[in-house]
Amino acid sequence: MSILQAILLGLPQGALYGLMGLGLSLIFGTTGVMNFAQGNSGMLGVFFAWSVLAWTKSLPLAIAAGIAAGALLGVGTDRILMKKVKGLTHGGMLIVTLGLLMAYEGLALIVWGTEPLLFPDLVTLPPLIWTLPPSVNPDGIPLIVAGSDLFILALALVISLLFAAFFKFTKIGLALKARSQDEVGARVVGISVGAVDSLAWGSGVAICVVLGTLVAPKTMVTPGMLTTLQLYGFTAAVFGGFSSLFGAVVGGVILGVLEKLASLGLDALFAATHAANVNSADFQLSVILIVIIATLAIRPTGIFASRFKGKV
Amino acid sequence: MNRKVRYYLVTALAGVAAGLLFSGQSFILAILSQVLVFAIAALGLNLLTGQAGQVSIGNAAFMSIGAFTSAVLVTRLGLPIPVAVIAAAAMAALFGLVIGLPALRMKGFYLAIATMAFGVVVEQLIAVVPALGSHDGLRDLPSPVKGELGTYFVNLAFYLAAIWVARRVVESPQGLRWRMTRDGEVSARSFGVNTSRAKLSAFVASAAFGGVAGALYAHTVGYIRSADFGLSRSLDLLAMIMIGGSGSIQGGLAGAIIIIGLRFFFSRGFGPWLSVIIGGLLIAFTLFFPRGIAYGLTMAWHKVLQRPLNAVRKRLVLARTRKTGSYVEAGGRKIFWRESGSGEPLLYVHGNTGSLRWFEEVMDIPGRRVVALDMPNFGRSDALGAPADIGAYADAVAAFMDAMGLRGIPVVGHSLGGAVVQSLACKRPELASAILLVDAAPPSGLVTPEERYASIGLFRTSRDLLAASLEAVAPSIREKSRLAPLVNDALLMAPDAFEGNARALARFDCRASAGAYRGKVLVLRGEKDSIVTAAMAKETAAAFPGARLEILEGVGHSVIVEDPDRFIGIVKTFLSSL
Repeated sequence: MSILQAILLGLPQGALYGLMGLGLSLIFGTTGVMNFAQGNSGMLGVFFAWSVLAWTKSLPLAIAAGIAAGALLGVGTDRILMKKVKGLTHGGMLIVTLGLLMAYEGLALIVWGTEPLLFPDLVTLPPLIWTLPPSVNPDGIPLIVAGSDLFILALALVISLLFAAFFKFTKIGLALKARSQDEVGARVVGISVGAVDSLAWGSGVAICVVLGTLVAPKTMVTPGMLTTLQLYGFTAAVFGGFSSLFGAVVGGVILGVLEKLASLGLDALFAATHAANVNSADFQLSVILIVIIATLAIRPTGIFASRFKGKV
Repeated sequence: MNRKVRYYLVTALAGVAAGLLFSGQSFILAILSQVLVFAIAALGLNLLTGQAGQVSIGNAAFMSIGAFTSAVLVTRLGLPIPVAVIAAAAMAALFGLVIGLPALRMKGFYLAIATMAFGVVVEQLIAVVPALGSHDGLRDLPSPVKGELGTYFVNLAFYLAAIWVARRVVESPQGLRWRMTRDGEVSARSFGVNTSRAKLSAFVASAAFGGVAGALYAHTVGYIRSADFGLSRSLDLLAMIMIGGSGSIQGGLAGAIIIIGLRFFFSRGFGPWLSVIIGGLLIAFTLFFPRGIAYGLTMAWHKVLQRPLNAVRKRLVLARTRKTGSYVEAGGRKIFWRESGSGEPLLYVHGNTGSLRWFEEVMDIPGRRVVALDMPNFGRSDALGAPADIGAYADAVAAFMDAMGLRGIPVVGHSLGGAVVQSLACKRPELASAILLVDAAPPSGLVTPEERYASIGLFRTSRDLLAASLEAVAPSIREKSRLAPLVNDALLMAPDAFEGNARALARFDCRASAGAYRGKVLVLRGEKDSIVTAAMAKETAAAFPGARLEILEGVGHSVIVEDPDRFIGIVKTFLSSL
């Protein structure tokens, strides 16, 4: 597999990481709470969508219902739990969201059982096949991008741009920005901090449900479907510096590409050392996680943080 | 018995009793063994998270490293298990350094993400090493001794060693540095704490405990897989310390009993409910009971559980000491008193939570008749029958002196008794020809900060806290057992006087009339006194025209019990100067 193909595979994968990072950053950047239950909140939304799908047989309706349920879950979490958490230390908030993570996983198992559930593709597009001229690509193997990957990439782009426009051009976007920069100041100029927090939680979890429906055809609907992706989302957000939304998306894309390239490099390394029985896929996550630790250690504020003035 | 020795003894006895109670049921013994193993791991996490404030959600990785290290050393190299356990601790500690170093740059959420990533990396990498059994793990690991009961006792021994080591560290300056780092890094640094080193040492210590627990797990269960030590195990450990009590030594054990117990209880078909329950407990404890079970038990011990024992002790003390003195009717109350020697009289007035037994070792002054009393509300005398008040105590002492025919004699007062004697000297100067004030409350009163009253309330029901506070006011005493009779007498105090005396001292003010007292006044202050400050002692000396101040080196608030011979010498010199 060529490096170009690896990059093409990495882009949509990275877009998924970026979406996860976007949701996490939206909540953390605005309310200051790192939601460790993010993946599992999204997972519950996807399960709900699956149930609606089984009942109504309408995919658009199911997805809309899943997103609405996710948004409701986010708002509910904020209203019921996070108001109480406000005075706690970071450790306290963290433990509350970890408690949610465990509770949600159990809840999904209780309601929907342990069998992985099938979820259909949102769209079925033909793959894009791209034959490069021999001067660029001497071995003549065409580059392939799966149709669903193209869709994911486009959707991620659209969602990011929507949020960008929302933050830039609407008053509510401005209110979110203000609240993230200074809670007391925001209150002083008449922003309802409670409403803004709920909005961030609601849309943050809703994004995660969208993401969940995108990966569900591949992973199937299981309680642990978004757990690993949440780790990648953290990494993407760490790359992007958490407080910057687009940093998270860009960070996610870089991460996706980096991951495929690392996997390529590991394969070459194992081939060279004749460690044939070793599978590079076993190391992929580890490589990424070591990157996360290194990034946090070297630049705790994120790689792109300085380019974006202020938060959000 | 020393409270520290009692702490370990009670734990050990409870552990042995639990083991023997279930000696026939190997299933329950296996659960108890696991509880102990996880309690050690939770203790390790508690040092890092509870003491040093560094939240980790990857601590199961240290268990994993310890488990596989020990398993390999024992099965491949044939090392004895105890050696392998220590090697496992060392190996885990090394990895503690590996994650601890980058973690120095992170805080709060970021640290949590990094430790979570560390945990997943360790889980994944161990699962791909064929020598460690890849995903299937290692089976048929030997246990340290034959039989479930033996294994349980080995784990118990390691647990006792673990809490001993942890308590030593937590009570050492290192533990203080951890807590300072937790409570405020900037202020800790401004006090000269190297916070980086503190965090790093917490990581290493935490990892070593995790390593020991992992090794014990391997030899207790006999079968280890990388997936046994994943994120959910790390979360279990976190739940254990949050439920048990963040920062406490044995809270992890309480948490482990609940979490491991629930795990077994729900193993038959209710698995999913377990996550919901543990998650719910985690949230509920964090929000509503953040100090955990350990704190609840501690408060129950001080508020309720000691009561029956104290009631019995009170009766015994009364029965034993009533005969050592006599009663006199004074001011409508029965007042208990004692005397020693003959000659010119001298009166001793004790302090707060005190009694005449505080003067036991200074009753023999050559050529003097030394009299000491239990004031009303204290010791074996009747209650005051009114809210505690310094003036009322002074009236009671005056009534006692009238009843006894004591008049124009030197009077010695200690602490609160010093305030009473000042009041007496102002109200009835003809009774006290000279006064000696030992670490006395100053004439402007002694205000107890309002937030202290909550703990003063606990003295009423907790002999342990009384003992600790008496040890604090007699800092130079080496053999704490000498204080035991004084602690017992403190239990005899009227219940309402614990708070009442503190309030009475805050109200006390005799500045207006002190200047009129013509007798000689000697003011003593122990250099290490933590209640009466140097400024207060100076104020007392300045308030009385005939006063002299003497600072006593090397003793605290209570020279009369800390260094009786020295006190006798001072009294003799004072009396001969009159």
